[in-house]
Amino acid sequence: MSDTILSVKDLKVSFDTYAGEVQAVRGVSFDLKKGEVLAIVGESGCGKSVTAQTIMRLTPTPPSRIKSGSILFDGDIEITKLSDRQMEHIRGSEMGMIFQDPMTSLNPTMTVGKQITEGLRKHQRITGDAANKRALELLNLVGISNPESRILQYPHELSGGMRQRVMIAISLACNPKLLIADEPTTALDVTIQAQIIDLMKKLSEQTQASIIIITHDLGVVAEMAQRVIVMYAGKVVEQGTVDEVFYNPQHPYTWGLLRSIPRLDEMGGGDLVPIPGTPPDLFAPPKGCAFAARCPYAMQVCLEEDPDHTKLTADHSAACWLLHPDAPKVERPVEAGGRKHG
Amino acid sequence: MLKYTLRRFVYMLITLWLIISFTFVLMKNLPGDPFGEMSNKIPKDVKAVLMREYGLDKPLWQQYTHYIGNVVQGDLGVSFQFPNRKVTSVIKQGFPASLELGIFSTCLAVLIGLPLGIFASLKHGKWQDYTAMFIAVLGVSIPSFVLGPILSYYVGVKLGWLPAGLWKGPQYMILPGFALSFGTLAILARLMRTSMLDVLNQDYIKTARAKGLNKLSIVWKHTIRNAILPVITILGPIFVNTITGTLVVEKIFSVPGLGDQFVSSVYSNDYTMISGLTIFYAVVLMIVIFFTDIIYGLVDPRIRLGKGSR
Amino acid sequence: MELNSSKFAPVAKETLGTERIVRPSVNYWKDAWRRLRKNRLAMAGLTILVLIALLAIFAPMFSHYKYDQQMLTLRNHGPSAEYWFGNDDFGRDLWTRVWVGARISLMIGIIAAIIDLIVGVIYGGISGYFGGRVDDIMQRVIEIVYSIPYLLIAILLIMVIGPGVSSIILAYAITGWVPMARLVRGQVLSLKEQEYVLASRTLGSSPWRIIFRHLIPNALGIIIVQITFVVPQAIFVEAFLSFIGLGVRVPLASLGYLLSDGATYMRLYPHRLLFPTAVFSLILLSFNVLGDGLRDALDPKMRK
Repeated sequence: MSDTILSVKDLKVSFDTYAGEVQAVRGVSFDLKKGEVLAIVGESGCGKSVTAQTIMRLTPTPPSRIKSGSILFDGDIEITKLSDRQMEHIRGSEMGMIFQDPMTSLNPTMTVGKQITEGLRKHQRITGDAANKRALELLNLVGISNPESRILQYPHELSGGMRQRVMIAISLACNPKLLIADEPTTALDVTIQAQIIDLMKKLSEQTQASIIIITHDLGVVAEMAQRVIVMYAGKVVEQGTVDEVFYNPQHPYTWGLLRSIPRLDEMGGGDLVPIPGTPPDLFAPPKGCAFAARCPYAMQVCLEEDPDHTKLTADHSAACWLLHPDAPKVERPVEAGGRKHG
Repeated sequence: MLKYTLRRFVYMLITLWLIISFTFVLMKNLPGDPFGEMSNKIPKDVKAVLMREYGLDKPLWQQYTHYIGNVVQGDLGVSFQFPNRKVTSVIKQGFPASLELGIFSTCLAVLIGLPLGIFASLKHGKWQDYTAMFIAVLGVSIPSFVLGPILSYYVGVKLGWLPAGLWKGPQYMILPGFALSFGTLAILARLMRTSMLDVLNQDYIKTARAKGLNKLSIVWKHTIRNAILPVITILGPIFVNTITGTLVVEKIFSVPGLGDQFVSSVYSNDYTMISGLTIFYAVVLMIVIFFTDIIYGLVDPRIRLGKGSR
Repeated sequence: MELNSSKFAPVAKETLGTERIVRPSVNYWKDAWRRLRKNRLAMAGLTILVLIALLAIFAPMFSHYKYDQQMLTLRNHGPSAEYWFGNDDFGRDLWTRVWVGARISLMIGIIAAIIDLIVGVIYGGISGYFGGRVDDIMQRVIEIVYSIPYLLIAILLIMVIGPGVSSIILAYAITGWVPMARLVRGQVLSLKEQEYVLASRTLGSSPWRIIFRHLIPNALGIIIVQITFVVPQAIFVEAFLSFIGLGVRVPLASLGYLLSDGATYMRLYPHRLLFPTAVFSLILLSFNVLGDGLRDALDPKMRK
């Protein structure tokens, strides 16, 4: 058995809208090791959520469809080829998912307890009592006090942070091998964000689940992840360990990302620099590098040809023509790295 | 929940009071003399006695309180055309048939309309959806007083499959019941479809799918239960539609119900009968609306548990 | 492919067109119209409505007979080359009568729409814009008015003030504006929280200016859709009242009156029910499919 739990190869996902085909994911490849926490970062609309939802086959078909590529899960399960019924057995039991907005992700007319036990009863075929016991355990695990009374409450009786804890309990109910968290903190207050991140960190250490965390908050990445993938316009532009990407970023888009976040350790120094322009239209992606139009170092070749990934270390690679031996050397505008992680 | 129920109850009383007052005002403003064409033939002293007997010599506000008092005690007055017929006895005679027809037609509308809407939403954008919605648009566009005569003539008279009129047994209910329910059925189907589509787009449906539930339990446990909430809120107005529909449908199918009686009273200008029946209908409808509001409160935990008052 | 060093020359910012707008922005109304035109059912509805409106205006003008012209020798004759829809029990030309009826029905529908626009939009606009206590009181009023079984009240009212077109319109006006007021209020409530409205308010615009310049134009889509449902509703009310004998006065004929008349004689002379029914149902059907189409076309959520 390999130590890889998930292997995505050249995944392409498109949405068929009446105005044409939107190429949301345009060839994404990455591996996830067992027990690893992987972060996917990028702007809204870069395809990170679609990638995650495609792994769980949650994007509705139609309008979305997997054009090509493979998603290999747990050694030999080819997710893209499974029937809907087979997929139902994997969702919730082998893979769990946490969504962005806890205010809308819970069913308003069903008690919290029922929502947690529902998946358990389907996948593990246990009795109501056993399921309830497990639900209490889970609520304890995610740090909800008085689980006995909470279990009978409805979502509207809980605060946003509590609801997100319930969401996490739901996703962990069947001890999944893979947990996908789609911007789990974006919709929460800052103080609550920190609590949820702490909780997830704790859980990632306690459980054996591998975690994919999707975010645009680089602070969350530094806090939780071991490896990071930077996506832009439906493609991976850079990937590597958190240290490599934060301290030795190679892609101008990554530089832009790092420069556009505030850093507390640099009070007064280092102005925030926004990335000019907007991401390209995915109805008609550009022929060359998708970032070229916004890239201050764009060259003729960037407009003509999309760069391949250049391997820098075992984990670290970036897709940029600047890494080509013929390219002019440019000085990196971002001094080494974000925060120290861990 | 208690506060919610109380508030609904107060609204019901206010509405009823408004309707009764409105009726009173209209009755006082009837064209001509309260004794109509016979007025000149009645001797003056007899008229005075009658005036006293009906309380018409008293100041207006006393007449008003008297009127309200009567209504509260369940006395809705006597027929203007046939002074020996009390409005309440007419109701006793006609209401059972109307109630049967109304309930039958409402059941028909709910049992066909809701599944049709659910079916259409699950086949969203496919031909089944378009077909179901075309039927629904037909239902909204063809009122009962158009559908009724057509059914009565073609199915009842020409084909002779079902009785074309009268009220003598269950099979007599089918045609008028269907004529009456078609519009309601269509409204329910359209609303249910919209509501289903709305819920199917909610995040918590994605959560349910992420749990690996199968389609059936997602639709049944998560979608329908939430989608049906807005539908319950219009059951009251739906029932109002049905009741007003009975007026014409009973006339078309010669059903000896209250609606038929109502329409005859309109033709014969029986003002007191109409006002009495209107108040009776209003009371029935208000009670139905009150109970659908309570049911809504019971089904929606956000109201039942007292938060998020509407 | 060949990579020579020239390819690695930096390109000028201008040629990149960073600020270039990638997709041509489409005007909201043009976009809606384009979508509506694709909806064949809605376009069929629109076409039929235009046709019916033209017939209602011109058919009686060019007819050889007046709607109340009696030809007693032709009582209850079926359709013929001369009398396309046949004759009624006084031998009157049904073709002319149906279109005169359609004219009355459409007129009632249009007047109802105007009432709705005035009362409903203003009521909903005020209620939504001012919010708070004003909104609270206005909402309570709406809730009460909404639960009144208005057709019954309308019947009573018409019996007292006497039947006729104006009575029907008055009867409709009692509660007809409520759904519109609710819709406009909801729309205004959500619109007024948006930044451009806040900005305008900060700049000191008067409430009226904000309501009429910013809020109502943005709620226009929803208002138009509602209008296409109000018109058939009013036409329905007229027909209902006519059916139970409270419609226009003879010899004038509305569609409702003709329907009621036709239903009475249906077993003997089906043509007297058939033609008014067909025209009446076509009007309602067309309005409804057009309304559905408009709603889909104007719904910004569908815009992608």
